[in-house]
Amino acid sequence: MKNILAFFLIASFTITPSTSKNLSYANELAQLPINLVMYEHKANDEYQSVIYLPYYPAYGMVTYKSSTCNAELKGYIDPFALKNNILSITSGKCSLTFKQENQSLIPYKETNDCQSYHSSTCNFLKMNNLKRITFNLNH
Amino acid sequence: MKTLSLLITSAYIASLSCHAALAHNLKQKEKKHNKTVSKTVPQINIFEAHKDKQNYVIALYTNATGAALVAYDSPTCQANSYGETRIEKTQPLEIVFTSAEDTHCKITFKLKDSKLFVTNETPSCSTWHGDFCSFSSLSPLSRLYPP
Repeated sequence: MKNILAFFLIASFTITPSTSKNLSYANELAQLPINLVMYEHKANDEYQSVIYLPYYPAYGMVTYKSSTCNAELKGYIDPFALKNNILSITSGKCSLTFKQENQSLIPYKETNDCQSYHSSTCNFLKMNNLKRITFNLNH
Repeated sequence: MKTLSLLITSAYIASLSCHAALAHNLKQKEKKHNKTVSKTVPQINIFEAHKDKQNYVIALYTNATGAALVAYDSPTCQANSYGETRIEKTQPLEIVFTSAEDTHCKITFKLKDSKLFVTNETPSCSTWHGDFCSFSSLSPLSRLYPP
C-alpha cells in the first residue's frame, strides 16, 4: 500500500510539470509569426547563428564564422527535445546540442564526429551565447 | 637644483604624453570593439511571403555560398527542406538552392530590391512538397531580417 502511495506521489510530481511545459511550448509555437526560429551573435568580423524550423519535418542550421573558424552544420533537429528546451541538430554521426534559456541559446554538447565540420582551431562549443531574434510582420 | 627641476619637468611631460598615448590606444580599441560585424562577413537573411494561411519562409545568404532552410506551410501542405545555395559569379543576383535530400530538386531565386522572386523550380521538388503546394500562388518574398 505504501509503495502504491509513494508511486502516486512521485508520479504526480513528475507528470504535472512536464504537461504544463508541453502546453506552454505548444502555445509558444502557435504564436510564432513565421515558421522559423533564429538566434544570433554578432561581433567584430564574427558571425554566429542558429536557425531552425520547429515543425516536423524539422531542420536546422548552425553558422560559426570568425578569424579562426569557418564552420557550418545543417541537418535534422529533434522536435521532441525542443519541448524540454533542448535544441539538437544532427548530420550523420555529428550531433550538436544547445540549451534554450529564456531568450538565449547556450552551446552544450557536440559529439566527436562534429570535428569533421570544423578546423582543429575551432569548436562549436566555443560559440557565444546567442540571442533570440524577434520578427515583426508589418505587412 | 636646476637639473633636478628639469628632470622632474621632463618626467612630468613624458608621463603626460604616455597617458595621452594610452588614452588614444584605449579609444581605438573601444572603437574596434564597438564596430558592428563587417559587411564582408556573410550573414543569413530571412525572407518571407504570406497570403491567408499560406506561409513561405527561407533563410539564406545573399552574397555567399552556404547552408539554407526552406519552409512552406499551408492548410494543404507542410513542406520543409534544407540544403545549400550557390551564386554564380556571372549572375550575382541569381541564387540557386539545392535540397540536401534530393540534389535534383533545385529552386532558382532572383534577388531584386530586397525581394526574392522564385523564377524556377525543378519537377523533383514536388516529391517533398507534393502537388498541393503552389509556390507560384504566393507573392515575391520580402526581406524580414536583417531589417
